[in-house]
Amino acid sequence: MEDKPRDNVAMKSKVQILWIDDYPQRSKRATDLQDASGMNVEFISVNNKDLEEEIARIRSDYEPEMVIIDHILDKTSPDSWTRLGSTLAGLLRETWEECPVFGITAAKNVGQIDIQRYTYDELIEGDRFSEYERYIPNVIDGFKKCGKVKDIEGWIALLKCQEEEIERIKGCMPHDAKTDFEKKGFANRVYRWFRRRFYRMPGFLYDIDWVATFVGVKKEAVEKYLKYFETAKYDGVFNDPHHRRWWKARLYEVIYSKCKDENASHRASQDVANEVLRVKKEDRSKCYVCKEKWPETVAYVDESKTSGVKQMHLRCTVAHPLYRYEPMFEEIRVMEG
Amino acid sequence: MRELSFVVDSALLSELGERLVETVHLALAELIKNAYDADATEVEVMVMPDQKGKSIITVSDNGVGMTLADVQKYWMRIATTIKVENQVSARYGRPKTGSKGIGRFSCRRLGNRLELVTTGRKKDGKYETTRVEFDWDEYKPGTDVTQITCPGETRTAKEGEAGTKLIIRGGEYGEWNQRSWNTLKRRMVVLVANRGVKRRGFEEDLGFNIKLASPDFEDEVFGNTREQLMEAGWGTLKIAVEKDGTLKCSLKAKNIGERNYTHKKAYPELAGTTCEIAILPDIREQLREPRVLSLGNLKKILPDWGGVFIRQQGFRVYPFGRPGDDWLQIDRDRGRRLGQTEYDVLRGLAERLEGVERGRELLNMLSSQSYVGSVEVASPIPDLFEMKASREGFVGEKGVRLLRKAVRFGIDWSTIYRDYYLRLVEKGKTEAKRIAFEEAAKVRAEPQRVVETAAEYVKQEVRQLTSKLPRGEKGVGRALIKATDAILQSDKTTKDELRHLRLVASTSSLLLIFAHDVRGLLGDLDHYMASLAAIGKQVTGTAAKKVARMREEIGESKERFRELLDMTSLISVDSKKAKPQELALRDKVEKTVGCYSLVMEKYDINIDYEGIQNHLKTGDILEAELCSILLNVLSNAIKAVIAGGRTKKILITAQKISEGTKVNIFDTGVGVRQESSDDLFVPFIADPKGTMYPLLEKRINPEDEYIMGTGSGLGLSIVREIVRARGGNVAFRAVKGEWKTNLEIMLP
Repeated sequence: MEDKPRDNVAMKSKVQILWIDDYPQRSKRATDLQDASGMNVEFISVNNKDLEEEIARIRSDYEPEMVIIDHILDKTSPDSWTRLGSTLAGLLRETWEECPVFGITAAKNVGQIDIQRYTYDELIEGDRFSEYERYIPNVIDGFKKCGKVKDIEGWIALLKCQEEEIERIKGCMPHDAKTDFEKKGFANRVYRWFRRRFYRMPGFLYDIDWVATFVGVKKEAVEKYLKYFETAKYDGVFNDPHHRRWWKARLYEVIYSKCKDENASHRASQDVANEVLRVKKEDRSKCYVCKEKWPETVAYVDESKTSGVKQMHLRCTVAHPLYRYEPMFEEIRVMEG
Repeated sequence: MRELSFVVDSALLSELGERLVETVHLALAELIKNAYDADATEVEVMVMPDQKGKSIITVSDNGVGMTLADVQKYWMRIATTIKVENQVSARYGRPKTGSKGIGRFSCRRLGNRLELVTTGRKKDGKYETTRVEFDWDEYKPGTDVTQITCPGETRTAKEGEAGTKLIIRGGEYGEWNQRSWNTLKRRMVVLVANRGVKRRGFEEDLGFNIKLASPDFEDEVFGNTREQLMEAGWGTLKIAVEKDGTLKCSLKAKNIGERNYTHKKAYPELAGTTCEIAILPDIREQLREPRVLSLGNLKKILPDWGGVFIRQQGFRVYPFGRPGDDWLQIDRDRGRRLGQTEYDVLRGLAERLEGVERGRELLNMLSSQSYVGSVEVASPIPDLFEMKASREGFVGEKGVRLLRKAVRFGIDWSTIYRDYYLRLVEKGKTEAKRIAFEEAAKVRAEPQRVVETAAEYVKQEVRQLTSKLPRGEKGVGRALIKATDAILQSDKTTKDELRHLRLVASTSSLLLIFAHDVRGLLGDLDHYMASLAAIGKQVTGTAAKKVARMREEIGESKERFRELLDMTSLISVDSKKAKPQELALRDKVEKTVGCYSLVMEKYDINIDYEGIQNHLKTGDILEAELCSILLNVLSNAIKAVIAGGRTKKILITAQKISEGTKVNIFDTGVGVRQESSDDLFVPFIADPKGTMYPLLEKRINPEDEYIMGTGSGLGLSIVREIVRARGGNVAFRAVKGEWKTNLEIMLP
């Protein structure tokens, strides 16, 4: 991939992803993305260039399907009026209201890059980029699909959830993610809610830690039991192949439908799952605190920033003071000392 | 009865002139204020002696002047109410400064003869010049003021220049001295701070300046009071952009002298732009010329006249520099406590100047009103500074953005020097105390040995005094000597620690660069993983397995680096921002042990912490502190077991007791003798027996030395400092069984 201005007309019709960066070396990441996604990625180096001029030129061009911007643009011309990709992202959004804009940063712990990160639809740590290569085409596809949505039903249909979940999902959606479908920027609004709340918070969807806990298996052993839950796997809009999720309601359905005990519904999910999946004794989950079987929650060990999560009993934990409880989602908890 | 009327005795003039206006400099100040109130933009004042030792004072201004009618109506009328009625000047709307119509009687205080020459513009557009002479000696007590006439003349011309000139003769030149001259200047700086402003409903005020001349009190023929004001503050910053865009900054400042900086070809769009800014902190000690600029005046000047104006071809462009306008974003950055300059080259300067703290170099930046001056903009690009028709700003933002960057470069640069100056002042105070001690004690105290010399002096004196005390009271003297010994010892230890910590601190930038590069490397590893994944799809069989294995190995290395980086950023966290909290001990031990996993594997070291209950939490402590404690004690234990060379086992146990969380670290290493165990907490004593490090050297692979550190002997002293600060303690305890060492830490 060459580092050159976007003046090639033949190229124009093909470009789907625009990558704006002041580190020319990062063009190889753009090549990785092109190889992995099969999409056409154009790398625009703004190294030593005046951002204002560059952005004016880029904005006057056609709209790509996605933009990726380096968060810190400190190697642009000294006269550039900003050094933050987030400012640029805001500008591009004015022109291309429906285009997803991702930031990329060499910094770690992007959660600490305060308010600026909210300008992007997502901010990615540079050394985790390979985890997003297969996800990005899904994002682009999802934005296109969201752009065509006419009503709430159409939008919910994209999630491919169980019918009985529809009303609950509607209930937890913020107002701007279920109205103004025709208004520009709907896809961005809905993506942010989906990605930061619906996909991230355990509730409707479970990550691997929660699946393991739900079925009463140690995290290290859960991979071998996942084959039973193929139907529960999330494959709706914005599906992220690297950070997989499973529908909690379908996990229920799978394990309880396999159980022959008429009173199964009165038994804990871990108990039933261990029985129907024939979980080996050594694979059974134990509470990190009391060592007894079948912890029901995934909790932080303490309130520090580097704290890990472990399987624990609810009784061995307390509500995490730094998280607010949200109805229909699991409560975030922390180990009781 | 006939109607009666008052008659005014001439004595009233001397009452007004001499009693109300006590001193000559106050009298002259009143006349200058009159010029200001008459909307003059410049006034020239000259005070000279004549051959007989009497004074000749001339005051010339270019204000609106007076017509004959004005002279009769206002000048010749005692205690006119015009200044009460019109509180602002007619042309520019200046708030009037004179003292309610008594200024002209100041002339009486300054000499016995006055010549008034004034030119005013009449309603018909013609200029009328009036010259009147006053001989104050004729106004003797007992005579009626209205009966004395003053000779004069009037002429009218089509062309002319408005203004007023006063020539006062016959005063006592001996009343003038440098002190009264300086007082006059100090009073006048408030007026010259007016550098131009637009007031609603009036013509634009072009500012006011005073030129003072006196052969005895002024170096130059005409001292420019505005320039003197600009030179009186802490420093004067000048910025000029040359034809090729090179930015040249020069700073003249107190205790700093003259400094220059050239930023090559940085702003070609601003070629021809110049700027002069006075830096005026409202701290008396920091002013270069407090005789000209008093703190009281400064406080009056800054709110109204502070700030940096923008001018184009001499005309002021609004709103830049108006009170409350922060076009240079100085107050914004101060509000955010922005410590670091955005200019890389200046960060380098901050690092080079002794005492200036890099990353906090802008914390001493003054508020925008303390920068007083203006920028004269120029540009080879025709439209860059196209003024709006209203002169309220420019069309387009780019020019001002560039200008801000250039001027802020200069201001940031000068702020770094001001920070350096403040450090010098502190150093100066220390030096002054040292000299005072030398002079009082008649001893030589080298700057590096002040504490030792002073303490030795105290000891010597106390010894002498004690020898004269009765036997029963000598104990006090002995105690004082012991106290001095304690001070000396503590000072020595502190200096040693400081020396070493300076060394350690000097590597912190390197650590940051290293961490930054490792982050870059992590990105590369991620790229290689992606490439291998792509290759993996194109090959089959053994090759595919090999590629998958390589990818996995790279992934493991990447995660290990990430963890180490996590630990690095944790340790270098700003302890002022972090909050102490209860921490899950086992989780932190697990992470710390993880940092040593390569060494453990290589030297077959077993670290057992299974006994620590998962739910055991410490009391409130910073995460960085706990990790620092664990890293240090584990590093020591690992070194000890490698040096021991036998079974390499480390056991960590922990339990909650009433005093806190008790953590014990046992190891099978070289052991610690109980009698020398306390020495290990003294800084720089890493190996009191002198046996561990030779053994370690013998048994450790040279390439692993860096992992073990240099044996500075600071590790355990740091641990003790942290633990004690949190109300805990640390000590070596008795051992039994296979264990050679038992270090016990009582955490909160």
